[in-house]
Amino acid sequence: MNRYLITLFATLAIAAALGTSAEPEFDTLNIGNSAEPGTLDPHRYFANAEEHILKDLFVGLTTMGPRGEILPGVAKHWTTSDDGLQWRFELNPDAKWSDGQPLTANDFVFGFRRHQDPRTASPLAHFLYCIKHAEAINRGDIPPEGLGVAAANPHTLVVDLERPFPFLLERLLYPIAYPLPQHVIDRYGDAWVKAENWVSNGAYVLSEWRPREFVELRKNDHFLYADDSTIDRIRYYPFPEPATAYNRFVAGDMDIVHGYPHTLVRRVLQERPNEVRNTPLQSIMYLVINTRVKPFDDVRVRAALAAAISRARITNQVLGAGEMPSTTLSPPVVSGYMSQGPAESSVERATALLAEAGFNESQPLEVTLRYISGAENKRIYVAIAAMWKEAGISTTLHHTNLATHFSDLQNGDFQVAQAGWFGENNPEHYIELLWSKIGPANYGGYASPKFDALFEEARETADQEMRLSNLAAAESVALEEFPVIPLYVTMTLNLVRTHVGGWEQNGRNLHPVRFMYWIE
Amino acid sequence: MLTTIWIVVTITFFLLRVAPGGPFDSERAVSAAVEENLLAAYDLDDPLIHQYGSYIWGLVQGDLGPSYKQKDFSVAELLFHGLPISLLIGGIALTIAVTVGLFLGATMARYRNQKVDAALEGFVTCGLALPPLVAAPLLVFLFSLILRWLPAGGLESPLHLILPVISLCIPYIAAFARLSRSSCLEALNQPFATTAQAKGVSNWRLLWHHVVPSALVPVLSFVGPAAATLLAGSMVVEVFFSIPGIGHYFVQGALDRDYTLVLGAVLVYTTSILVLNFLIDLVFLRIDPRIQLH
Repeated sequence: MNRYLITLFATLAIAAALGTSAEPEFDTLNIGNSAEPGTLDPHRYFANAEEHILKDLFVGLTTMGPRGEILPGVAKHWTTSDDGLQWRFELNPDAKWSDGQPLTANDFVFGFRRHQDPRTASPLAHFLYCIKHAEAINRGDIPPEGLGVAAANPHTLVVDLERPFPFLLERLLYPIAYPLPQHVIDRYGDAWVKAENWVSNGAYVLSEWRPREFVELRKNDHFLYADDSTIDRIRYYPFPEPATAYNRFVAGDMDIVHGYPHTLVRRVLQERPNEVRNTPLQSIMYLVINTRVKPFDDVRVRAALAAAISRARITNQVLGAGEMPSTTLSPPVVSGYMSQGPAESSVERATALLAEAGFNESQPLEVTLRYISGAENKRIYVAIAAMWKEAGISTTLHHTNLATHFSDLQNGDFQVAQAGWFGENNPEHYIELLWSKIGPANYGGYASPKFDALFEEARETADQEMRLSNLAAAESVALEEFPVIPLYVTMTLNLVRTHVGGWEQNGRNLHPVRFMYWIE
Repeated sequence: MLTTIWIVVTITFFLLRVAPGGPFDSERAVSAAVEENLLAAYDLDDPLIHQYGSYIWGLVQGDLGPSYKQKDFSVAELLFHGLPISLLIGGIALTIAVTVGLFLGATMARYRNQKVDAALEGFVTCGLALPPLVAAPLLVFLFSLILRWLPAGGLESPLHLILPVISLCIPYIAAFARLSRSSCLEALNQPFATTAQAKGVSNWRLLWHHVVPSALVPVLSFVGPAAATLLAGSMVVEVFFSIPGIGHYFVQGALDRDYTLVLGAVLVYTTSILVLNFLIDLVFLRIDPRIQLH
């Protein structure tokens, strides 16, 4: 029997030695995306997997450089009025659509109006409510023609705002602010997104989309900076299961993958040090507490829950991919902004706070902690329950799928729950989650007149520096009342082959292919 | 048949709506106006019974509706793209499962209670304990990552089909083997088998010419449900090997609350079970003289 086993293993070893990894062919850049895109209509898009593809297909007024910097896109330069309420964008007269038609300010006007039109049903319409009359149009109160966006001439776009918004240039990076080819949409209607009808203005155009197989893009020769891009063809493959993405990368099928199993982090760091590109995402993972239900309406109870958690234990012992602990809701990776959250406390402090609130060993605080199903999440929330147990808190863990989780959060049907927010390099994007008028995103129903007043003051401030300082003041007021317990900044787990150049780490984890090149 | 399909579609329609959450719930909470616009765009703000009526009316006209999550495709487009792939992989897996399973089962019956039977029984037990969830990672690890003989996923060439088909058919080979072993053993004890043996018919001839044909009925009755399951695709195999079949739509569609997509997939599954069972019944008529059409 042993002889057979030895023969079998020897055969396998020889075969393994003979097996060669696939050589790169340098004709197509194969990228593993985290999911199948739900749409390639920039106004109907919602998910990160879609943004990965859209940023290669379109360029907005501004665009993102490889390190996440904001660069001129179709707009060559721009000016802001002193009160911060009007922005003028001078467009590049050489800009063209991929069918050779000239791209003018009217294409932007058409795009912005379509985005707010209720019939478009854009899931991210509220991201541009800062534009004059946008919210009223989106509610159906006034027609899209009333939007505060106008073409002063074919190459000048004027955008009027409801209130000052110094972060507009970053907001314009989202696909919702791309120009859209009116001449194509008028002709094909909703079918304009099909590959055979496709027209866009980015470095690439859509050439084929096989559902759940791949999305293929080819170089757009009419692109404003077409000479910059050296990669002719891209294929985005959807890998909802990170293990599949990892296998395909190891097998040599993929040049880049966005996401591999978190459980492999340490092994991958050891085995593929030249290919790992784990990057902190502009994001915050936090626990939200339902301040509307007893006993969580008591700030001492909320403070005790926070005090009993050691963030370092979560990031170092449970996660271990370089996640950054955070005591503030605005992630520490946000540049140019400093804020202070309540200092990390101790189990003793938690126990004392609970005693003050009337909880003790014979009558422990009972908490139902909700999280989204998944192996990685389970490890985190079991660890939190264990930390709470040390402070005498009795935790019931309850996990559901993503749709149920967020539906229940929006309906206020929870006590303490997992939540997260991501996207921008400006603190307001995160802090506004605590504003009582923000709507369902303020899951815990936190309402503080003091915070609201400070936040609303910041919201009306045109000067960016003063606005940031107001925001910091507002944030520290809220965090002292523990409506949320910020935990850590999440990491994106990327793998990039050494023959791909120009892929840079950035906080949005978006990587325009026009800046990439082959290293032969 | 139409009544059965209507009942299944109706139950599925209302069961999906009972589940908490909706197609537009996600980690990025949207404003109230945005949610209203989304619901209105897909007529999800109408009363449920009205939505049901519209869906059934669309169905009668051959319209399966739009997908709420894959907005650039209709449900019909998605199923039309995925179904041939599921049929191809499921069809190959089914053919292998039936032929190999039957051969193994008959061989086990022929050598009953001997070493060959015991060895194959061990193999069959292992097969039953190897669902695609276990087999797929093992096969990829061995044949794609270590040996690098076969692709780890994708659908570019016939080679890409090998691992998904194997992981899909292993438990079915085992199931068919067990089923055919027991029905062959039963047939071997029938008087016609004893008579054939007494007339000096060789063991193998007895097995393949006399025993196996009469043992086919229970095996075939399992072909219907097995075929429907295999042809409708497997979520695990599809996700693991990046195969764009329709199995994924049952599970992911349900998790995403993509109501119309799940309904479309359920419709395909129900119809294929009904059609396959009908076809199997026709085959029974031909091979089993005891069954008559009334």
